[in-house]
Amino acid sequence: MESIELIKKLSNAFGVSGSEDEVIDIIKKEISGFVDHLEVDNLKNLIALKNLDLPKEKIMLNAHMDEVGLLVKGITEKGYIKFLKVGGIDDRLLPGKRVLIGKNRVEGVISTKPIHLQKELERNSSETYDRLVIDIGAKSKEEASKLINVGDPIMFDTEFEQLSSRRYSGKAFDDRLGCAIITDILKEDLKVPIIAMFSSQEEVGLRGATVGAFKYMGDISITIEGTISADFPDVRDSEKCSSLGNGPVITIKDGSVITDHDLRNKLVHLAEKLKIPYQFKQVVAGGTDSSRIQLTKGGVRVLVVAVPVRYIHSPVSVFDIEDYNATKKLIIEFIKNYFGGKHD
Amino acid sequence: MDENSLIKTLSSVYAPSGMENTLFDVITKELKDYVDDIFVHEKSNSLICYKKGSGKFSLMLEAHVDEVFMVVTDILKEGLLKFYSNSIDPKILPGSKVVVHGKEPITGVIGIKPYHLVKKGEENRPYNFDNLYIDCGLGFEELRKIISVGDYVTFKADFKKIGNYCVNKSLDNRLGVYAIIEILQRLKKIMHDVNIYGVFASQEEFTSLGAITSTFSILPDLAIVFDVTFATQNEVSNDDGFELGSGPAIYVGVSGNRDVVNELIETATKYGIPFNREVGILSHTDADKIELVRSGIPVALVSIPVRYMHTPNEMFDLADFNRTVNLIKIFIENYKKPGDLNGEY
Repeated sequence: MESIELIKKLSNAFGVSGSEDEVIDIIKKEISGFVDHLEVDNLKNLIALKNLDLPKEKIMLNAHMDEVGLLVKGITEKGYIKFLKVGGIDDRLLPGKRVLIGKNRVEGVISTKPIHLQKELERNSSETYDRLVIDIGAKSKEEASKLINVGDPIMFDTEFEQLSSRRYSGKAFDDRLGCAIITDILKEDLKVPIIAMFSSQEEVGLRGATVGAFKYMGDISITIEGTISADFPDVRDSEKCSSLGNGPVITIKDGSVITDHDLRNKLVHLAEKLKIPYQFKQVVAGGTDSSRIQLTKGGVRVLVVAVPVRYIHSPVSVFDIEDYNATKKLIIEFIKNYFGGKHD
Repeated sequence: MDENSLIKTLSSVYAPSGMENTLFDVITKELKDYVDDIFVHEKSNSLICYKKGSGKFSLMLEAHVDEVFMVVTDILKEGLLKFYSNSIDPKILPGSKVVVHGKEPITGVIGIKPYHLVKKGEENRPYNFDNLYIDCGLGFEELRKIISVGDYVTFKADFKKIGNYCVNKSLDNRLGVYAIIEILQRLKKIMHDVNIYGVFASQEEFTSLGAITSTFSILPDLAIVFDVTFATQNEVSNDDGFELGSGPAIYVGVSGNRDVVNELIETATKYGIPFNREVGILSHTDADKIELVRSGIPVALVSIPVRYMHTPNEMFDLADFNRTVNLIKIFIENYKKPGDLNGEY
């Protein structure tokens, strides 16, 4: 299973928003030879072009490379690290987690007060991130300053791991799964003009895509995401957003965009015809790069298709490889059917 | 770091209270060439070893081998596990990896719903065992084949050297176990009067079953207990903890025998071994229980400071460990007590 090796590499890579370099390197290495042109722009968007000389409608495939994480804010006298959050992380995820800091991947643990020493009130309340520190085993500020700098990005220290025959756990499936699907698609021999944009800084306000879609503009755009699946017992059915194992998640509307009705109907029609399972995104929440791409120049018709992911924005996200494969297949078939000259 | 390899092994084995025998092979392998006898105390699932001295006096070195744990309380039709623990803070669990010890050990993750769906006011509400689940990537039927209610759940081991210190799960109390092993090994070529019992006791995190029953069986003249205590860290000041690297903490409380404690303190002072005094009423360790066995056993408690207790990131300083080992080794070498006080063996 080639995709799994690629997903593993991408999931383990360091790519907190603004520090996407490792992800760029991995994708570059994977796709060079399969594309005609590669460039990295000023915001660290990686853009790849393929078959743009064909006189057909151009399709932009895009996924963001960055992941949520933390940022070193300061070092205390005792050598502990204070930090900021980059992107939407629930403070309650932080205590007791292991992290890696900066390019040298300095190891640290986020502090937890022993349960024995917590007063009644502390036991029943949760810590906010600004009360926590990262312990890198340094004995002083001087010692810590030799290892890390203020401003260094911090990511969860976790390893991609197979849980069962179909399910895998790791970090950054939002949106390295999208990056992996596009990488896989670029390796297919599709006779269609493709602009692939691997965008930066999505988690801090869709910033990369805002400029990344400008230089090479597609006639249509498909944003490929890893999206929320909150299919747990204590979440109401109407709020689950999507469910693992039920196939690609197609967005009608989220917090940032209404996708193109005509294109989406074609996509759904195709999924029905090919008997590819699919689900609509239930909750009108979250935003994707598609909303910025849609506003580029005179406007772009956009679609959003996603792989459902449990526990996103955590070190232990879970996805199902069948969902990944179905999402990839649906997008490939869509491109072939509507842009490859095989209109039905 | 060669010196750390045994503590890495010891702390990476899964031995929740009641399942301590998983460690016995490791300990036996380390000690079999250094002691005269080594056997399992069957009734409590503890491991006891014996090293003969030249006199009649008997000293028991005790450390609990068990680790904190969770148990599966339900298997849900959604393919998730409900679980519970008395000794682990549920607030540290979101985003963790655990091992579920069913017919075979399997990895599970504890996830929470994404930040996007957290409603106003909800983010300050701490997670507890009522709203946390373990996800093993398996469906209900698959889970039922491997897991049953009551199965143990432990933190997933991941030993690492972080800066000056080392971290892993269950350094509480594999550090104590390691200390006894190290002391017995170092005593190989040294003449000592006292007969030494090494006790690797079960279920400290529950009822101190191993400590109480093995002490009754052995009836030592004196006992030294090895455990861990709190280190200073974020939100733990000098009031409650000891600086990492400042040496072992000798317990000075209502429980514990002051004569023995004073002898330990004298030894440390005489040989220039840095130490701290840990003050309390009861120590809430096996020492309190050992003291109450038969007609009372003189007992002292020596603890190694550890940060982030009862989490997968317990953190210690090797210097504290080495000083603990040195202190007790010297104490044993010099111990010459005439006569036999309890004297069953």
